[in-house]
Amino acid sequence: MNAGVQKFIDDMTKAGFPSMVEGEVVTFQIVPVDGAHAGCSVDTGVSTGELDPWPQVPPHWVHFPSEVTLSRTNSQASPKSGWLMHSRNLSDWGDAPPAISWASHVRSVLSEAIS
Amino acid sequence: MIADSTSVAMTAATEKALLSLLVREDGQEDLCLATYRPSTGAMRTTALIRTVIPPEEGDRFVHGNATVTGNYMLRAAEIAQRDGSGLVLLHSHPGANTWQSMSRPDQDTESSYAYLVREITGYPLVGMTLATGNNTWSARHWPVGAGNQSSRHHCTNVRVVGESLAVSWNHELRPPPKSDERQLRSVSAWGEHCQADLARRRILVVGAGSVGLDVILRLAASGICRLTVMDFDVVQMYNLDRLIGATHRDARLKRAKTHVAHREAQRAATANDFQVDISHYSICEPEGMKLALDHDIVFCCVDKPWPRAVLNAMAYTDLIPVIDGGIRIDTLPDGRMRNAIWRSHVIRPERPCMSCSRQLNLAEVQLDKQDLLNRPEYISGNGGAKTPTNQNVAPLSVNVAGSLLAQYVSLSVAPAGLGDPGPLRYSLSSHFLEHLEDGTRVYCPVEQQEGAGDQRTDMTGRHEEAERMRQAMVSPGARIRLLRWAEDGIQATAKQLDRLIR
Repeated sequence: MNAGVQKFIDDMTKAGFPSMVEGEVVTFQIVPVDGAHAGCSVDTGVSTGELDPWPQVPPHWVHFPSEVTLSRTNSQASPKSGWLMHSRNLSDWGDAPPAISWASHVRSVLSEAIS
Repeated sequence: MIADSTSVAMTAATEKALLSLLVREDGQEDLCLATYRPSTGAMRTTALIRTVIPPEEGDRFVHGNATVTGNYMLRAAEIAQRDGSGLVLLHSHPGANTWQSMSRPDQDTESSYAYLVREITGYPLVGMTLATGNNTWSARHWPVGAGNQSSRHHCTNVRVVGESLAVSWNHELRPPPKSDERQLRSVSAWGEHCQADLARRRILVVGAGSVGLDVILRLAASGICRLTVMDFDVVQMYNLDRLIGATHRDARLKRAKTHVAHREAQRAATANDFQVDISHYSICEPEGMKLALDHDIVFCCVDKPWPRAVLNAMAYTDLIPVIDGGIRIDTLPDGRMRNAIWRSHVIRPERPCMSCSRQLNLAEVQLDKQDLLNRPEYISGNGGAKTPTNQNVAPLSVNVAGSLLAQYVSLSVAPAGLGDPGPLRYSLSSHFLEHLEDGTRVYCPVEQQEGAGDQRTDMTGRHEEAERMRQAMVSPGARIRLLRWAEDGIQATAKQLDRLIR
């Protein structure tokens, strides 16, 4: 496992989002506060291939099971079977640690979920 | 394995901590220990000093000279080992003011601990001497070779990165070049000593476009001895309104931008034995990054997000100041110019990184890394996401180059004792120069990697565009190859004529 993937897993786990590698995707669960899945635990993930420079550079694609439908999206098939990856920009880390910022970013994407 | 040359770098804050331990009011010699991380370039290994380990009671004896105890060495080596670092043994020579050679006792002390330190930390011992008369440093690495014998490798220089970049030179390995009438005006501006310092600094210019080429020519004219230019692009017709010195022939013959930079820099150079090294790697490729680590200062003259992110990180992880800047031209809907803004800043420890100062969009770095910024199908699928703008004009790009060079002079010369001025922004419409008060974000992951060296987060990777361009450079077609050969022959003859005239 490369150093960036391990660091992402360590950082997310430390921030309260236990993470694991499943094939080419690191997965964890998150509970959005808005959108169709508000209050429910949702599986999400990041491609291992995007994590080499973590935490210097955030990943671009946010992965969800294909049942999660977003109101606007530019999506492609995820390497994880039955999942899609959605194009979303995170321009900077703001004033929080990168793991917390990434979790906030995923919650923000999920707030657009319509089913 | 040790590279061809070695050096040491530290921040001004680290130097301050070391001076407080090594410079005594009673005028005696003193010593202390510190940790370092190696930063391994293509030809140079630099020890980046990280943490000072002050001596405790009984750790050393001061008796005019100073003697280190085995207990202190062991305690510090264990601290270094836990940090994944090497160990530096530093001592002072009160009143001295030049690069110091080693006395027999100093040599015996360092060589006697070299093997032990390497065994505990896994890294060579680094020895340093401070000449307290004017805070000149000298340094050497002690790699352990065959038969567990340690041998001394004197460093080329020691660099202290702060508001100014202070460099102590090993005059034997890098003798001061003699200035002549061609640099008379420069010497009269900042003095012989400063000229000899600037001339020896190894400078890398990443990007030989409109701004980069201007920077290269000015540096060459100023009398520096060695310059590296990194660019994988070739000259296109649409470059000619900004690439001063490039010709129609360069574009027709698909000449590399480095070829133009090399040719024009040679013409502008005033130093004897001036040398331009060229590289067709991207700074985003491991080979490009390794090459960059051989340099004392880097100019960032590229606008793509990924290379800028690599250089942004390197300024902190490897303590190499990066002078960065750019221009943005805004146009009105009818195509007329609204405004132009150019910025410049030195990226270094104690200054905000490009992301903290909002000069680098991290989202675009990942897109650039995945080559998505060049793919129309991705851009259109992303709701027409913005693509990088390319507006630039020759009369204004020279201002960016000028602003970068002014930052370089402030960093290197520190006029009136003032070093780099921080981020600057100039607005053309109002002709207003602003000092920007950007701060560092609390959790900035870039600045937290200060002095990480070889243990930095790896930002490099495969760069398909650079690979394609390199391939295109070497296989341009028979007609172009023939014309290049003819042009090279004419230029070689012109060079011979130059030599005869001299």
